[in-house]
Formats: sequence, structure tokens, C-alpha cells
Amino acid sequence: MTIPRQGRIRLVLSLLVILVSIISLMTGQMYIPPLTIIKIIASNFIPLTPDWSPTVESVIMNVRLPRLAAGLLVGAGLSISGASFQGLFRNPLVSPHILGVAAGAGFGAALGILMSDSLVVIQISAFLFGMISVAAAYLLSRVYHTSPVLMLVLAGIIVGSLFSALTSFLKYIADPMNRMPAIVFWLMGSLNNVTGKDLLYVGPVFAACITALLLIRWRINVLSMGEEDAKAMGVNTELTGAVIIVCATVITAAAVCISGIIGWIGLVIPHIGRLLVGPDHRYLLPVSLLVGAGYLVAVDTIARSIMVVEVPIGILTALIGAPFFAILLRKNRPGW
Amino acid sequence: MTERIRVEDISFTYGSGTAAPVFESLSFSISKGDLVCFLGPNGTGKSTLLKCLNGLLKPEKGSVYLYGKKISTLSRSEIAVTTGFVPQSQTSTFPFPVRDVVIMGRTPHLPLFSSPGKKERQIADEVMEMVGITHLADKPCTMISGGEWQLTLIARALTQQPEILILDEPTSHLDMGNQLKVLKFVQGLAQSGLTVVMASHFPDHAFLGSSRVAVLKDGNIFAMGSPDEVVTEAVLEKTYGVKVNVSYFEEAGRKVCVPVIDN
Repeated sequence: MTIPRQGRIRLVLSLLVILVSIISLMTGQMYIPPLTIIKIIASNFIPLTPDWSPTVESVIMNVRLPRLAAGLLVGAGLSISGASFQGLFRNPLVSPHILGVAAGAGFGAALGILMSDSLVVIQISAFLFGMISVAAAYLLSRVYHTSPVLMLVLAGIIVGSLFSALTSFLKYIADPMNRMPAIVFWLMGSLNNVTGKDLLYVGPVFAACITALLLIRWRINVLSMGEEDAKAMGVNTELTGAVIIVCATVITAAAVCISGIIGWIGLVIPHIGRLLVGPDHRYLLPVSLLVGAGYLVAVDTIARSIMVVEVPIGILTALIGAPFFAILLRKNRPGW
Repeated sequence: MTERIRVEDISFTYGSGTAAPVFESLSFSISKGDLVCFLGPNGTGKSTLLKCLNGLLKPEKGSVYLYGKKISTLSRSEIAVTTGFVPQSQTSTFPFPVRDVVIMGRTPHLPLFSSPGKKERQIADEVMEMVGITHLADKPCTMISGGEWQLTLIARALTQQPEILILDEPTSHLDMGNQLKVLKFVQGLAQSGLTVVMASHFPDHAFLGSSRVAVLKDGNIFAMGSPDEVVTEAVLEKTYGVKVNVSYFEEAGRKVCVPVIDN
């Protein structure tokens, strides 16, 4: 029977995510023992007499914990979006960025950095332009009356390259001492700027979209058989497709707006998920979510601890993701 | 009421207006227990017509009625509860086990947010048994033969527990033996009360249990009626542009069609 096996895998992965999270909270310029971490977190709910310094508490509560939460959310969100998109587009080489959301959000952020010093403005601009680019791709795909899914991907590529060119233009005209490096760093991705307040806004958005994707995950299986087949099996493909696209786009745009562009998560993690539980989205989505959350937190912990200066996480996910993906493709030759 | 599908004066054109219509002003109706076989040369719109019958394509003019209801007013799941569709095979991207593909047929019966459970699995297992693919249940569907995949698609459509089954060239990937098996099986379904509509390239197939045959040619129904009336040497020659010999074959107990090359 496969059901107990699925449950076991999810249990093991959940424990791994917790383990990675604790290690992440311990690690950094200041080592904090796990017991202290648990006590500090617990003191928010039950009265405890502090036997730790206020600095330690501040590091945990204001720096590491928000960053951990952001890592979990972004990793989980990008992975589940990637897995859903790969099913919807029936293509295992698709990432959540395929419809141009990253390019759009990147442009939005660059524009924000040029115009303003306020992080909120930059984030809102990134989010808006991420959504705008996907909406543009969607509208563009409607202009042609052929295979909508294929046209959508092509339209995404068109809109994406347009926004990439605009971003390059902004970099070109930006002040090379100040603004240009800010744009470049932002595009490389980092969880460094996340605050607890960001999470208050972004957290519920992630939760809602992830829940929606999880709820319709059986229908993603049916959609992956092709649009016409899915229709013949009673699926409202336009509506279901739109729900998947909206959810994955909102998740990705929200992820980009708090953490910049982090590639390779949404592409690679679903493949690891398939290796663990097979192609069935009923199991693949929850498992991708767990693997993605744990993976991004692990990589972020490495990013901020291997060198004196923090390595942009987008560089690391690509450095680790690309060779890993190459090996995966080789091992997984017969099918996805 | 025994009428299942009624087609009223439908026309279909691919692309925007200027292209020649695939077919024009077709009207016919299909009743319970009918096994209707559409014949016709390549590109005459057999598949297009079948997709109109099931609402996958919308005719430019005219209407299709399913159980007396205009198909354009029905939702996809309302259609799928009564009508199963076996498409021309297109392989799956992901290696779902055959059983999981077959279970997908339960989707129209499931509420939006639920996944199939034990009951669905049991129905799928029964259908696989009936179709004779139980031994494939755990195999990845990307690693079975074209014929096995075709049978999987038939099983998937039957798992919908439809009253109407539409098959688009169900034998195109099958060897001789399996062609005959599938057609016999489909004939059995029709005898048990299922309404079957299929498209085929082989006029021979019309003699394997079809109650009615329609020949599509140049955008019209060129001939429609019982196999004996329709599948004649004269009609076939006009339809396919080659001389065809139709004769009774004693050992097979039915008529067969043999194209004759004219030197």
C-alpha cells in the first residue's frame, strides 16, 4: 500500500524542516544554544523569567525568526507554485517565473529603487509589476485563438523579455555609485531585509494561495492530461487554470517583493518531490511544499554563514540547483 | 425518451471566417443503444464533429442537444457525467500509474475540492478488469504500448460511468487482434444499452456491430443508414477515390472491404 508510505515521507520531511529551522535559529555571527531559543520563543506565550541577555532575545525575535519565517514561506510558496505550473503546463521544465512575473517584479523593484528610498514603496512596486506582467501575458495570449496554454507561455516569454530589457535600461541610467548596486543586489535575491511587519502582510497572502492550490490539487492531475482531456472529464479548465495562475502568480510576486529574485527553487524542488512520491499532485504538492521550505532555509543559513559577508541567496540556489538538476535529469531519465 | 444526442443544422469553421467550413448544415440524431460509426477520408471533420457532439468545440451555427438540453447551456461536469470521450491518443507527460489515469474518469462525480477515495478506486478497478488491463494497473502510463494506452483511455472514459461513449478512432494504434477485441468490446457496450459514437478509418469496422453508419465527405453527410445500405462499393469508391470490393466473407461471417488497385 502506498498511503502509509506517503504519510511516512511527509512526517520525516516535517521533522527535517523543524530540525533545519532550529539549526538556522542557532547559526549566525552569534551562536545561540537551542534550549535558549525554545525558552525565548516560549516566553512570548507563557511567563518565564529571562536568563538570557536582551541582545540574544532581540537577535532571535527581530532578526532570525522573521528571516526563518520568510525563508519557510518563500521556499514553500515557490515550490508549490512550480509544481502546480509544471502540471498545468504539462512541462516539467517550467518554473513559476515562466509567465514573466519575476521579470515584471524585478522591473518594479528597480523602478522603486530609482524613485524612492522607502522599502515599502519598492516592495509594492515589485508586487504590482509582477502582477501586471502576468496580466499582460494573459491578455496577450487571449489575442490568438489557438492552444491557450502554449500561447500563454509564449506571451509570458515575450512580456518577460520586455521587462528584462526595461530593467537593463533602468540599471543603465541609474546612479552607478548608489542606486545601481542596490538594484543589482536586489535582483540577486536576499532574505536580509525581511521584517516582522512584512510577514504580517505577506503571510496571510501566502497561506491563502497555498491553501487554494492544495485544495484543487487533484484537478491539477486531470489538467496535466491535456486541456481537451480534462474538459472531457468534466473539469472547467478555464476557471481551474485561472485559479492556479492567479495563486502561483500572487505567491511568486509576494515572494519576489520580500526576498528579491530567487531562482531554481520552483523548478528543481518539484523534481525532488517527484523522486520521493511520484507525479501524483495529491502527494507532490504537500511534499514539494515541505522540501522547498526546508531547502530555502538551509540555503539561507549557508548564505549568511559561510563568508564574513552574506552571499546573495539567488546565487547559491543557482550554484547548488543547476548541478543538482543535471544529476537529477540523468538519474530520472525514463520519466518525470 | 430514447433520444440521446440531436444535432440541428450545425456548421463548423476553423480559424476566422474566411476559411472553408469543415462541414455545413449537418443534422441527425442518435438514440439509446445506437452504435454509430462515422467514416470518411482524412480531414473531413470526423474528429471535429465528435468534439462538437460533446461540447469540446462549439459549432459556428446550429446546436447540439444532449438529452434534449442545449449543450452550450451545460457545464463541463454536467456533460461529463453522461458522456465519456476517448480522444485520439496523446501521451501523458507525467508517469502516472495506469490505475491513477483510469481513476481520473471519476472527476465529474467528485465535488470541486475532493480527491478520489476507496469507492472511486474500486470503480476504476472494476472497469480495468472489464477492459482487461488489470495487469497494467501499477505500470507507469508512459511505459506502456500505444495499444495499452488506448485501452487505458477507454477505461478512463468508462470510469465516468457514462451513458454515451464517444470514441475518436479508437483502433488507430492497435494491431489487428486488438482492433477486433476493442470493437467487439464496444459492440458489447452498445448491446448493454450504452450509446456509442465512434469515428473510424476502416469501412470494415462498420460491419462489426454498428447499428448505423454515416459517411462524411466534403463537409456533408454523404450517406447515412444501416451498414448494408451505406457501405457499398459505389459509396466507398466515391468517398475514398479508389475502387473497393465489398463482399461477404464466409469464414468471418460478415462483409469485408478490400481496396482494389486499378492498373
